[in-house]
Amino acid sequence: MNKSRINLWIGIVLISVLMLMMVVSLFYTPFSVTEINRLERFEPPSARHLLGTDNFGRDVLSRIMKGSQTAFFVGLVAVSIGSILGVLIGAISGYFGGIVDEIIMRIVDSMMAFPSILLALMFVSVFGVGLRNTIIAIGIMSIPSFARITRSGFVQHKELDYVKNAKIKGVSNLRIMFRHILPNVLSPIVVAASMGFANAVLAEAALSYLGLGIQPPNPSWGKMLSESQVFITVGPWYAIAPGVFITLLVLGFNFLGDGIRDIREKR
Amino acid sequence: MNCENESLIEIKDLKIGFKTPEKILHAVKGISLEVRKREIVGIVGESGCGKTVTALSIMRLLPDNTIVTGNINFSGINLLSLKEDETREIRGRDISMVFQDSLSSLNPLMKVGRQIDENLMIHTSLDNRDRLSEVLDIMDKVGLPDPEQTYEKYPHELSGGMRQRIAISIAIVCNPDLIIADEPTTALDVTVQAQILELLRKINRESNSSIVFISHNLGVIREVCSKVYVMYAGHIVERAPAETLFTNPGHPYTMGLIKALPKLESKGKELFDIRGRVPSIADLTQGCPFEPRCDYSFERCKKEFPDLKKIDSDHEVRCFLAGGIL
Repeated sequence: MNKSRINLWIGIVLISVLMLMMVVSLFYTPFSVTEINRLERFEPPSARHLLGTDNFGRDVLSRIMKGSQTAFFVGLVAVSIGSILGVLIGAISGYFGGIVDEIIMRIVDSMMAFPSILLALMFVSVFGVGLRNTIIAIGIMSIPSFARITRSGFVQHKELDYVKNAKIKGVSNLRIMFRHILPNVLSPIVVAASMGFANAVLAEAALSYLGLGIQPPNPSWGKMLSESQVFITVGPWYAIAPGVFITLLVLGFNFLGDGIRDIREKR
Repeated sequence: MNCENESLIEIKDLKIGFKTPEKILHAVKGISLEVRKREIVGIVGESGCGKTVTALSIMRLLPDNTIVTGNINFSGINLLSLKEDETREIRGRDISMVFQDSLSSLNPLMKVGRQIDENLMIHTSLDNRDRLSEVLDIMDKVGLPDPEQTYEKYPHELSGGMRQRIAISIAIVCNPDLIIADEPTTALDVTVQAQILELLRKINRESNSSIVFISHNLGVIREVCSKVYVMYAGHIVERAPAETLFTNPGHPYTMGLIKALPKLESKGKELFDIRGRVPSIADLTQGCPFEPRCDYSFERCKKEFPDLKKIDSDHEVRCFLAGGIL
């Protein structure tokens, strides 16, 4: 087995395991996620609490499992928003070119000039904190990269003979764009989506860490990280667990993206 | 019925220029040509003489930075004055085109059958089942084996000859009046080339489509065309029936092309070539564009641009010497 396949498989395995955990958490968690137990505060990892307990005596593993729902949900919805709008904008811009392209791309450029987390922060502080606004903010922030990638594919492909041939058949512009060109430029977009998923998870964690993302008592990995900070000397496992899981999920999607890209480039 | 002599498409004084920051470069400098119903017309010339650009201008597929003037009259409509959506109706239904490279002209991610079907879907109101049988019929007609199986294949799974047959199926499925074939056999080996030429002739015979056959290969042109236009540097330099062109060429350029064809008796000898190179479209000369390469050139050729001279009822040549000492 060669190196590129290893990337892909590491990614697939990591994501599958975490996804399984997320699915299980929909029906079952070892302990209640919100119930406070004063007698079991800051218990180190043991057979009863695999990842220990937090400052309220809640089971960390259960909260991590529940938090994976948030991570996947935010990632999925944000990437969907970003990719659908980004692909649409990029396709129009790349296919029609000219002045439309100039205007759209300058707007996209100016969006890219700001660090995306800063823009997300701005959005959330203007429109209010909470899950929905967090997702929208992260989604909007990922539009530029999708738009750019899609545009470059369309610019390249619209001059190719098969597109000319489609025009000669009398195919409408809309159909050429989405039925002919899009499938042919899809693979870099899939790679971007995988990377975008990782970024969305990170962004959600960062926003929640700053207290602007997911609000308690909903568990979120970023939120857990920020809460645990104060108790890092008393219960280090409480801080390590969400950190490790964020890393694993982000790593998983990055590996997956790399793996897909390697296969694509080898062809 | 005498529709043989009826004109299908008539191009008058077509000029095609490309805008560059400094000036406009003309790739086609005022050509006129006519294709009658059921006729196969050849356009010959070297690379860069404006053949393909002319074809694309008929399809209205030139990029935005081109300026096209003149008149392309297709069954009473001036194609150059049509709006975008009006040209879309004509494309594929009334005029269609076959490209040189069948691999790049087919969508790599769409089943070939669907690509033929798409044309019917756009231009007819047939339902799925009727379209399918129509597509299979056409695939059978162009000589594709196992239409049902081939329908499900992707372009890369087919050979060059089969792909070109698919491309031809796409072009003829709506029964167009005019098929433009832009070097359709250049990328194929000789035996497949012969089959494709035979197929085009059969289509011309059976479905009454006119064909404009663009090529740089005089041998191929001689085999299929009834009338030939010879283009050089954006001008038509000679027009003649195919046979006349070979037995009695009127322009020094045509003579050179014919001499350059490899023949059996010239085996072992060096092949003839026309000295010099095709002028770039940026070169502007007052005289005849072929003058620097012409063996017969004299003073007048450098200063004056020759008109098309009629030397026979259907034979025109753009040369001062035509019909005289040549």
